[in-house]
Amino acid sequence: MKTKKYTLLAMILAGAAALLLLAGSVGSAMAALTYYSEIYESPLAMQEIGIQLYENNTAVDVGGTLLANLVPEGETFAIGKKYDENIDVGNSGVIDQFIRVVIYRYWTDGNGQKNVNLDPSLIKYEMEDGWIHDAAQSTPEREVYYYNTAVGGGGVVDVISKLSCDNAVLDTVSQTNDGKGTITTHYLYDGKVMALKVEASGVQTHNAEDAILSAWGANVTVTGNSLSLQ
Amino acid sequence: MKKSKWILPALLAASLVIAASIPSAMAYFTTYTEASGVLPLDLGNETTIEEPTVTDWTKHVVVTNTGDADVFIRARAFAASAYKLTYSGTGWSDGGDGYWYYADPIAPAGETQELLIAIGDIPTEVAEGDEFNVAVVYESVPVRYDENGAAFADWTQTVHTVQD
Repeated sequence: MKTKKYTLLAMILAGAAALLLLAGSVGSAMAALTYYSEIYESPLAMQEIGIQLYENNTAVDVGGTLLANLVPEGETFAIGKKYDENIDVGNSGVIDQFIRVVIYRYWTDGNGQKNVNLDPSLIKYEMEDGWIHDAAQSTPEREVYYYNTAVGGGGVVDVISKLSCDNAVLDTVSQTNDGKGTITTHYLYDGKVMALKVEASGVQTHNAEDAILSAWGANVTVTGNSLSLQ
Repeated sequence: MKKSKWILPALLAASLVIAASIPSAMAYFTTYTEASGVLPLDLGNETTIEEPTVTDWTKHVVVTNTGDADVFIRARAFAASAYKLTYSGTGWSDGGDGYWYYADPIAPAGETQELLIAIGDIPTEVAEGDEFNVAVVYESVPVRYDENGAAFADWTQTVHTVQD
């Protein structure tokens, strides 16, 4: 009799605990205030985040191609010359976001194989104002930058304005002389391919410090709409 | 035996209470895009000096760019000290270091204007078998550009010269 009483008690406690758990997982219902008039409807804006790269004011698709029109038609690429290469990034979403760009520059052989023996710093670009360089996360091949201000929906900021190749690639390696009046000059970087890749990512501004740490692994300080590295 | 019947419900109750204390997971709004591009470099250059013609004790030197990149050219001649060499030519100027420099870069398939090297103090009486040599050498370097896009030559990078 006593045993049956205790078993019943345990079952009652277990049931009560189950009920508590179910009650706790039920979220409170939320109702959005809507206004409807007979004349027009006012739709609610949904949370939306998006980012877009532009090259010379033309939108570039995800995985798209850069540098296709860097050298004017009929000309050959001139070493040392600064070419106009305007790369911008825009907030194509609705909510404000903080933006990071990672710029990769490297050399490949003619067959597409990356050549790690060549100096990526000879591929030069000019960053526009407003970008904070994260030296701790950067290497000569991979440079990390954060825009110092949150970008609102529809906003576009400049990233790169010029691209060039350092004259050091022309440091002569060797010359051959056929003894008949012809000199042929050979360069280490001859036949190599200059590669540039731009990654852009955005993170919400709400709880931005935690969001940036989670998404980018960076410790930053956000004050209002401004971002700085810790 | 009787006490063992307590254990399962008690464990179930305890696990339910602990599960209720697990916080809900949170996800942040993020977005991403990327693009890339490549540009091949064609740097090798080749230049050729034409066999200078000689008229009236003057060598006519022309250098041709037979490569794929623009180059700057400089040239000079060597002869025994008994002979005086005088240079002239449209587009050529004395660099003060023995070389004469062609002012404009030479595009692929392009050539310099003639560099005239006049040989002076030729002996008036020459014995049979007497001979002398005037060697013309030239050097080429690829065109480089400064920040403002102005072309310039870096003559410290030359390695060999050609003798004719």
